[in-house]
Amino acid sequence: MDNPPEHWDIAIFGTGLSESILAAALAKAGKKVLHLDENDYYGGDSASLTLLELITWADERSKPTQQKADQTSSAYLLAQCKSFIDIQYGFPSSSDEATPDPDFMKDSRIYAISLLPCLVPASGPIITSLIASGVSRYGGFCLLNSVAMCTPLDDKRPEDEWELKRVPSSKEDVFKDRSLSLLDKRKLMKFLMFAASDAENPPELEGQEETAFLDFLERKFSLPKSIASAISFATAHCSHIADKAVPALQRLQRYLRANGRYGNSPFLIGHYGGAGEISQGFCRTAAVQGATYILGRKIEAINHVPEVPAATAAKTESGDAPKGPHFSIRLDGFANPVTADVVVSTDSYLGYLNSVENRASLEPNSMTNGAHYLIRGIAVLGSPIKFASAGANTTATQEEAGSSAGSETNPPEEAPGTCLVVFPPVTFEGKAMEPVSALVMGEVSLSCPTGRYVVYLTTLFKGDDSATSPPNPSELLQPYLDRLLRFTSGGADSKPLFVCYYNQRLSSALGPISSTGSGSTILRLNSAPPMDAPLTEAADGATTEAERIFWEIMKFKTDGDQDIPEGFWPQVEQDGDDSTGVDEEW
Amino acid sequence: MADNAETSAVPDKPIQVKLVLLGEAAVGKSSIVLRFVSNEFQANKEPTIGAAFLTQKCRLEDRVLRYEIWDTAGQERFHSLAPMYYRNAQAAVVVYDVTKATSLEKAKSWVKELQRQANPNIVIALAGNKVDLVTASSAAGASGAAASNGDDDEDEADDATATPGEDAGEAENPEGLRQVPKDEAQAYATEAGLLFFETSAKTGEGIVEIFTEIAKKIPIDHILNGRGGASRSAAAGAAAADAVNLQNNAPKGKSPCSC
Ligand SMILES: Cc1cc2nc3c(=O)[nH]c(=O)nc-3n(C[C@H](O)[C@H](O)[C@H](O)COP(=O)(O)OP(=O)(O)OC[C@H]3O[C@@H](n4cnc5c(N)ncnc54)[C@H](O)[C@@H]3O)c2cc1C
Ligand SMILES: Nc1nc2c(ncn2[C@@H]2O[C@H](COP(=O)(O)OP(=O)(O)OP(=O)(O)O)[C@@H](O)[C@H]2O)c(=O)[nH]1
Ligand SMILES: [Mg+2]
Repeated sequence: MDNPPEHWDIAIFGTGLSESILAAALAKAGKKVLHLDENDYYGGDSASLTLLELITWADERSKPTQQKADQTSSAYLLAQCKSFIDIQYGFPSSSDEATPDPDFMKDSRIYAISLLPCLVPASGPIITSLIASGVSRYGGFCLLNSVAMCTPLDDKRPEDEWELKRVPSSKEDVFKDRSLSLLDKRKLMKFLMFAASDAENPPELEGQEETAFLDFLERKFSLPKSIASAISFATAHCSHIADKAVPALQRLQRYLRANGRYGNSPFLIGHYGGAGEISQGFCRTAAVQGATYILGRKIEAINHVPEVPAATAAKTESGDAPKGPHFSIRLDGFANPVTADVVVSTDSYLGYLNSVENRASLEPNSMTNGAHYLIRGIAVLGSPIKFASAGANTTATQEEAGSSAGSETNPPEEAPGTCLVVFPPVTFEGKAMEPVSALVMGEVSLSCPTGRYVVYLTTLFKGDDSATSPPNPSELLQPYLDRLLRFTSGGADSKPLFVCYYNQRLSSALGPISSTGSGSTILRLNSAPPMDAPLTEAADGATTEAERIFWEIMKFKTDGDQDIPEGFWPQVEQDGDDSTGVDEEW
Repeated sequence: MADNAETSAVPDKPIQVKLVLLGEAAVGKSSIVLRFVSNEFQANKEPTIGAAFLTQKCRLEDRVLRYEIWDTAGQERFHSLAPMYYRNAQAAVVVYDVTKATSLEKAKSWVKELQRQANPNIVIALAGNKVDLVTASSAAGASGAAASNGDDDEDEADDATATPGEDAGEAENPEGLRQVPKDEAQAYATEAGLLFFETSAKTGEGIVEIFTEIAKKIPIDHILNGRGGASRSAAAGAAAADAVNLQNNAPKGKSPCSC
């Protein structure tokens, strides 16, 4: 393409949630932003994909190992193949498990399957940014309807029967819950009062910096194990059995406060796959503010140009040309490279960097850091999860303890449109298992057809060193999916319509990015979900990361003649700056 | 959409309709909206960045529609429109420039894209814009415009190089500027099931008609039963009713959005 040379203040590589928030904030702050993604869809590692897109995504990331010599594998894809490993998918309910039922694939486009499933706390950085940027106009949310714990009836025998029990979502629910003894209720209320209080340095926390949250709950508040477990894993959303008390309490406090803002749940679920849709909203806002978008183009190289050759400087007097050190970006099919002062890149694009001094410092320091992974599973079910509704007693615990057959006498059941089922840590065949979460989204989330449910299974794997490889994701997660299926109206014998399992590498700490000189710099944006509470903290974490980079750029780019903006988002003018709401009748 | 709640069947409330604009750069998308919303025309309209979200009420017999008009915000420049742009759009106006044959080809590709990406019930209107440049009655006006604004000069120069043979007699016969015959576009529109208009954002010709004809054709009951997403059941309507509007409970005084 015969594109004219064009220069931008900032080029951002990747259109994931964090990068998109950053693009919108920079564009609103008056920066000239170029936003690129090698995929032909928005959202990068937080995209929402149709079924067909998800299958292509999986194929692209599992094949290149076989076709290494193949020139078509881009540096981006090679990096992706290191981030997303052990990908496998299938269609269990189909006669041939490897081939989908055509009727099922007909609905491909109605699915919006998220690579970054998240529960968005009703107050926090992402909600603040959605409102302050105006992006909330572009997307809708629904509430997380229920949270439930799925626990073995007998702790010692996790291979036997499990039960599904709703977790109270408010104080009223706690009172109504007839499965709790009066004494336990009292202890629980006492803890909740403590957790919700503002007290600085409460005595209960003294010397507890290193205590695991579970221990803290059992020892300081004498809570029985089942309740402590529900608080840790289903309320504070700890992802690890040994999570520390202090950060878990801080999260819990935020979630307790978020509850009630938009309804009876601390969490919202974004429509159409959540993070991917929200990313598109921020990108649109960036575009409205003048950012340029180039998707689906292969990147050939990102070169640092320490000095502008005198000849070029003279030729491009347009004012739209680099004046000093800059980056030159070559794109497939573009006659001229595009240039930018600052480059912001997620790890997947760092492979394109040429001739940047200290490039080594950009690479994962894999020798010293353990490699951590999220073990993920995605399943499409044909029937909803059912369990006792709020206030009703749970099935088997009291009247018919031990009996697994009785279903006729069950109290009212609900089949929530969205729910989170948490499996606490258990020891299974001598192996300690981390907690596993299953986020279930029905049609209300607008991410699947009527009567279908998308389940996102997630658990954490902490590798001691980079040599430890994560377990096979389907072997680990499938038993949990089977357990969940027993609670669907389809029953234990029903099969998922689609499953996909993979391991997602959480980027290990990288060396700090070295500035490449006075005129230009490259910044590494960490787009990986957090290790602690990946489900509930991912969206807020992405926002915090965007804000961090935003201020780095503002500090760097301010050459005295520019003002540093007062906030991450500009103060809103009376009318809203991009919404010319002319509302006349005629 | 943040305003799902408004869609519910309160009879007095205007019915919210999302309308998206598509078309090659500089065919006059923004000018059409500006004419429709403010009844204005700017001869030297900048390529669109910035204003990208306008609303306009449209009264039609017994009902009031409130168009929420989405402009491409430049994301189409490198074919990077997000699925979100098409999502739940009940109407689209695909614009081409009657003096530029390639712009109709581009419009056809947008129609295909809409049929692939957007909700199956979407009402699509094809608008052949800048018809003032090719109609005898406004020929004087057209040359006047050319004299008064550089853009149109450029425009004509473009076309002149594209079709050098037609240069002669242009001044006397404005039809000479025309590169897309009306019946050709009409035939295509009929075949593809589109509403069709020739318009001029400059004179206002055909502009209001696009929006009233769309309003007549939109399946209102469908919208009332559940927003957009025709491939979903009415239960999606319940989903819309369940939807959370983030602005609603924004802390007082901090809510930045005026809508
Ligand atoms: C760096 C770069 C990379 C590019 N890469 C791609 C690519 O990958 N794919 C691709 O398809 N294109 C690409 N392009 C081209 C780009 O899409 C075109 O600039 C775009 O199609 C707009 O074309 P234009 O020059 O007609 O209009 P613009 O440059 O948008 O027009 C500028 C102004 O001129 C006036 N004007 C222009 N034409 C007319 C007209 N016919 N009638 C009335 N007024 C008019 C208008 O006032 C308009 O606002 C690239 C451009 C650049 C700068
Ligand atoms: N003569 C004439 N000129 C028009 C008409 N409509 C638009 N123009 C001119 O065409 C140019 C482009 O119009 P825009 O409305 O900016 O076109 P657009 O399709 O929104 O362009 P982008 O935002 O760049 O995609 C402007 O200079 C307008 O003044 C018309 O009906 N007649
Ligand atoms: Mg425009």
